[in-house]
Amino acid sequence: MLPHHPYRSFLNTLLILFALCGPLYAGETNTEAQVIAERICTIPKFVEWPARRFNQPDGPFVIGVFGTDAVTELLRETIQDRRIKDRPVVVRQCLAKEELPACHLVFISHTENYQLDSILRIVRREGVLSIGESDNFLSHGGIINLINISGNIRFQINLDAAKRERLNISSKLLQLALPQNLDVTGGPASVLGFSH
Amino acid sequence: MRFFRDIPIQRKLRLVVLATCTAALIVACAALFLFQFYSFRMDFERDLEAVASIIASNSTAAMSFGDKDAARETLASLRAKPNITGAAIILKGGTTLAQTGDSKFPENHVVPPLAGLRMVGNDYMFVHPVWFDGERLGTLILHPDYRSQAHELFRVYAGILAGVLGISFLVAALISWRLERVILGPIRYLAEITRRIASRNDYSVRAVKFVDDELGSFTQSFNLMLDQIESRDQALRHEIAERTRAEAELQRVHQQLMEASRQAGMAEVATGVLHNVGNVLNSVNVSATLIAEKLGQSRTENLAKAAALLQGQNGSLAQFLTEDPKGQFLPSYLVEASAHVAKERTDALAEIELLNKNIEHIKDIVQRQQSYARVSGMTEEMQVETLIEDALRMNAGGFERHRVNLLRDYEPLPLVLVDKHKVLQILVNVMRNAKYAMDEVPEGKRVLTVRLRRKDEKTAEVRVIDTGIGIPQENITKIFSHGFTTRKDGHGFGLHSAALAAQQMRGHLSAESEGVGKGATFVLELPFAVRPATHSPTK
Repeated sequence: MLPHHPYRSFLNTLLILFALCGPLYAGETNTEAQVIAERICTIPKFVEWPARRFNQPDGPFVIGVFGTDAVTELLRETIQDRRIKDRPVVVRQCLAKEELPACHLVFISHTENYQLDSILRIVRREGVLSIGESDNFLSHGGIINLINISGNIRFQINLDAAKRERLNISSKLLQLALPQNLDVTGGPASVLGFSH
Repeated sequence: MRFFRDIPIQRKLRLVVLATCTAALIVACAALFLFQFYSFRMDFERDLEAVASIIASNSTAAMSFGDKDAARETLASLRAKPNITGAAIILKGGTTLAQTGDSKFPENHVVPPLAGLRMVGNDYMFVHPVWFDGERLGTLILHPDYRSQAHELFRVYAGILAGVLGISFLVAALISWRLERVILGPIRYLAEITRRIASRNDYSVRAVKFVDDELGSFTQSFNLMLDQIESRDQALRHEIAERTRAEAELQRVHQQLMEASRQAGMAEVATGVLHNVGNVLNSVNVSATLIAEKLGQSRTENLAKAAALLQGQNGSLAQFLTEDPKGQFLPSYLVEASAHVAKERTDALAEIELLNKNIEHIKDIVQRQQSYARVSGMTEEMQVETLIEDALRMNAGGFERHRVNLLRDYEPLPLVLVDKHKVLQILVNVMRNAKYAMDEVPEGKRVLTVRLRRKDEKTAEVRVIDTGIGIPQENITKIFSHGFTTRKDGHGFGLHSAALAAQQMRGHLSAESEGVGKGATFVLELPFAVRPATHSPTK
């Protein structure tokens, strides 16, 4: 799945170049989006939803993507025939906030970072795993925040939020998670034009 | 196997016991050994499996997210397992996520396709595929220190095995040493008994039965056998004594017979001699009578008359002689008378000479008989021809009476070493038989040939060949048996004792005949006298 070694470093170089181009490219590059999509596919494996969220035995696992993002298409590609929680996966591009509570997992693109509060309020106590990519995602009540550290897509986890949503997050994931109060402002992420 | 067969029973027993014990022990120990190794390997693998499972499950997150640090940290926990010297986590694509310890894995090395404890090169690897939520994340490889552990175990077990074998060996040796006496004792005892019997030829010894197994029954049979041997031995001795006695008796009778036959032989010879002498005496008688006759018929009376006539003329002799017719006749009468007398004288002389010869002959015969009678049973060197001639002479009268023609065929031969008396006996006997055998044959056809030849460099052969009635095949050997005779008045031991006599001289008497009516040949073989000087072969 991962590209061949020399090709990868070339892409990395391109990434940096693009990133250095600054605001002209507001948004993730394709490769990063790919990794994010991977992450979004992998993370649910380490999370347990309350039983009420799955009514039918073969009901789909719904991933909702809110906000314009290349991630959606990539998600669909990545998921393909894979299953999450032994269920077929459905990826929805949600246009209205109201669609969100129906999803199991919601990815809030950084483009919607301005209305994080209202979004998160809607999915509150709905048993939805919210994944975002902004500094204050967790403080607004989001559960998992994706963060790019030196080219690696890492994540931060708000355990309280998870508990609130009755979502059980595996300690393995918690181990890999970065601390919640990691100071990313001014760090490499900002160089890459990540935070708003 | 040869070696094993001939070693003493005690050692055999020991070898058998020890070999059996050792073999059994080796088998048992080998089985244990193998089982131990097998279960060691099983345990080892199980242990590795457990460890791998734990590590793998702890690494799923790290592997899912490609988190090298987290993966390394997880592998670091393997330090708790010193027998795992290295480990690596390899992602699905083949890249190594984390590596620890002494593992000599090259980057992006080839993962063996099969899970479990695998041999790669000459080292072991434990391959554990990592799955999470239905997806293969990658592979965890552990590098266990199998070899040294296995060797350790091997050493320990080898030591134990050696120890156990050694001790068991000793125990087995001890027990067998103690028990073998039970078996060996009776065997040795029996061996001793048999040895004693054999060395002393004492069959009265019996073995005591100690045990009731096969040896016991052997002992019983053995004793029975000895009983039989003993009784048979005694019977044999008895019989031998009997036989010896019988033989002595036989010998004695044989001697008697020999004596009797010799006497008979001698009687035959004597008879022969007497016959011959009688014959000669006949001639003597005839001669004497003839002379008496001749001289009786002599004209001496007439001569006396003539002389008286001449005397009676008293001085007129001349006138008588010339004028008297008687007187004129007287000279011619005197001439005639003198011729007659001369002839009578010649005849008488001739007869007297013949007489002398015959008397000489008688003397000869008597002398010969005396010389033979004097010396008997002594071997001396003789010319065979002389003996043959003597025998022929003794039978001469008989040959003449039975009108037998003689043929001599002698080869000059060296002297033989024989008993003169015996040879003569044999030859006389044989010749006499020949003479009688030819009685049925017409007179002109009665021929007795005596052939003297050299049989081989040690033996002379005298063949007495007749043209008589021959000997039927079934009797050829019977004629030499004691008491056999085809003659009405025969006593039957002539040929038998002749054959015996020949044997006694180291010669041989045999008979040949082509059958009835085809004559017979008697062959007497005599040994040459062996001289220390070179024996010139005669032609």
